[in-house]
Amino acid sequence: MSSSYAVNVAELPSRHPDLEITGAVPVVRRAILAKHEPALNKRQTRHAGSIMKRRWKAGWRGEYIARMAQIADVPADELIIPENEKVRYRFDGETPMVDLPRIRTAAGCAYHFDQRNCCALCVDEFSSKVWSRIGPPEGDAGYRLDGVHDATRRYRQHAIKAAEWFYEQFFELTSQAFEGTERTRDTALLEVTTVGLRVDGDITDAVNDAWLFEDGSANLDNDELCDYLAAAAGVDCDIRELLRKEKQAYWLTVPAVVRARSGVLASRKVLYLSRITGNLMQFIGVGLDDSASGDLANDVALKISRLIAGWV
Amino acid sequence: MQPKGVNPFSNLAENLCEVQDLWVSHIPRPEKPVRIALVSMPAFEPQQYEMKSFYTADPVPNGIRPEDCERSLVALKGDVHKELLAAYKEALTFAVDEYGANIVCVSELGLPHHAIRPLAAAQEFAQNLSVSKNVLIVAGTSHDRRTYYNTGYIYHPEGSWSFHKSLSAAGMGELISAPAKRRVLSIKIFGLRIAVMVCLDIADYATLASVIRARERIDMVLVPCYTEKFDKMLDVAKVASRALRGIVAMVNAHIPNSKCHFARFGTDENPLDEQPFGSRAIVSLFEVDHEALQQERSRKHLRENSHIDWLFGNRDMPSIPPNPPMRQRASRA
Repeated sequence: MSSSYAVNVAELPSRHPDLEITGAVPVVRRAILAKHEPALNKRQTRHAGSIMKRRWKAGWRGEYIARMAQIADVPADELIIPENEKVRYRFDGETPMVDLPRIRTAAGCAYHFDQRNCCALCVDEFSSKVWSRIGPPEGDAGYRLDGVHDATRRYRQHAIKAAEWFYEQFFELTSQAFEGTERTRDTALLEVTTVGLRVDGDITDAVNDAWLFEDGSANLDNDELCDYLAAAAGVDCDIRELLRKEKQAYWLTVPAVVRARSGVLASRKVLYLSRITGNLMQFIGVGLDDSASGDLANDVALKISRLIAGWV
Repeated sequence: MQPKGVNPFSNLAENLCEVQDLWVSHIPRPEKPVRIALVSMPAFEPQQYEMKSFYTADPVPNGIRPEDCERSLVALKGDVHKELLAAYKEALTFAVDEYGANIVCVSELGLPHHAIRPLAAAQEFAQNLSVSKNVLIVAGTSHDRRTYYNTGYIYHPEGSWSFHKSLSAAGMGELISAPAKRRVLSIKIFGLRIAVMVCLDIADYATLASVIRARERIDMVLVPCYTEKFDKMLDVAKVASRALRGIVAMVNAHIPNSKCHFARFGTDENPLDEQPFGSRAIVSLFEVDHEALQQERSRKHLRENSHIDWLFGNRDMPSIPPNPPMRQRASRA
């Protein structure tokens, strides 16, 4: 518990458990939306997947790494693509996906991240989505608490630039696959930012819920939680102040399963706030992460992204 | 009509059993589909065994019915354990060498045993086969007079684990003890996440609800069985596989017409191949393709599944709580 919060506790009785938060793991997912007219079919999406695979092998890999390094403002030789990673064409439910290989920074790099760009090509009435996901590398301890605001801001900027570049590149490289269709980019953008708060030891469902929730909603008496929600949203004002202005914002509780340090699979709930700011649909989440590998934010962000993808 | 909200039974029941996640780290996901061999060991003939009784308290305290302290375990007669060991080695060797199985699962009470404890020679054989051929072997279970448990063993190239049955099949004469803390093992290997439970335990709501709660991290359940009521168990397997959104594989002892069963997302599946042996053991081969399995698992929520989802607690679905009232929001500003 931070010292600033301890002062508040003295002023107002705490209605949530006192937890030692040791670090924060922010994960930002940004999506650009587009629609094709007429709607895409699976043959076209398969063709696009084949083109990306071919291009990757034919040398586009080097260009991709160089551009990702430039966007992240790190030397290209500090970026690593794990050996088993390749361009994949697969289905997420009924949605064809083209995944680019995961890319991450080498150990010791000052700015450390793990990134994946992918494209969900919708073959129904929904929009296709070009996603960029940025978070710390697997097994990373996360950021110091006083660095969460800056780290999240940097990941957000990184994800915005990466998604913009990849959107243009993907549809340029695969234009042959989509001949006969007209693509219109949505003005709306989608963002899912999740902060996993690392805690020592295993916590219980009751402790998790008491820290995040109150009377079935967000525990806005918890100043620490409010700070992290503000960091995730990228706003400078108090989250309670923000909620007073944004009447359309609403809370979601997203269930997740973590592998606790004891090896036991435990269910956890993560708190999300859905808001619209300008043309951005933003989902910001905070959860307590007592997992062995700090993967709560990444897992739950993917889960809610899949859910939202079925809405737009 | 499906009730609204979370099933309160699921919230409480799933805390009665832990799911322990275990990883076999150095074995990568194979390029080809994972091959799974289910080994149905021969059922015991009446003349081959007896049910031996023990009492957990001696003398039984006054006021307690003796049968409440009774345990009844399978004791093989004469040299039956030798026949069983030979059949076991033959079937496992075939599963690994001829079928190229990555995973082998043997039926309940199929681990050769003698004097009501597992036969060390069978355990060594399974362990060595696992190490030499890079295979996960769920080696079957046996009764154990040292603990009064029905205990199974899992062998993998990096070591072994044990697991225990929680419920007695009293109808078949089995009266066992069980660990006070209920636990299901889930093993991550070959890119699959596989939980293991014994026979009737899959029909136990609390145990199954605990596994379904963690279904995001479990693809498949392997269930060694020894039951004459296999048809009823198959119905449970189908529902369980729908709730899991994955596969439930049940391996029965070779009781007529009830060898093994593969329920995938609620649908029965026949083995790709079957090999019967003179010992009456049967090996059945199935395959699991990662891509197809994950695609099916990621399918959108199905309406016809909603009652089953409610039964086990609607684990996947986000809920939308009401916004806090304004006075509450303002109270700390």
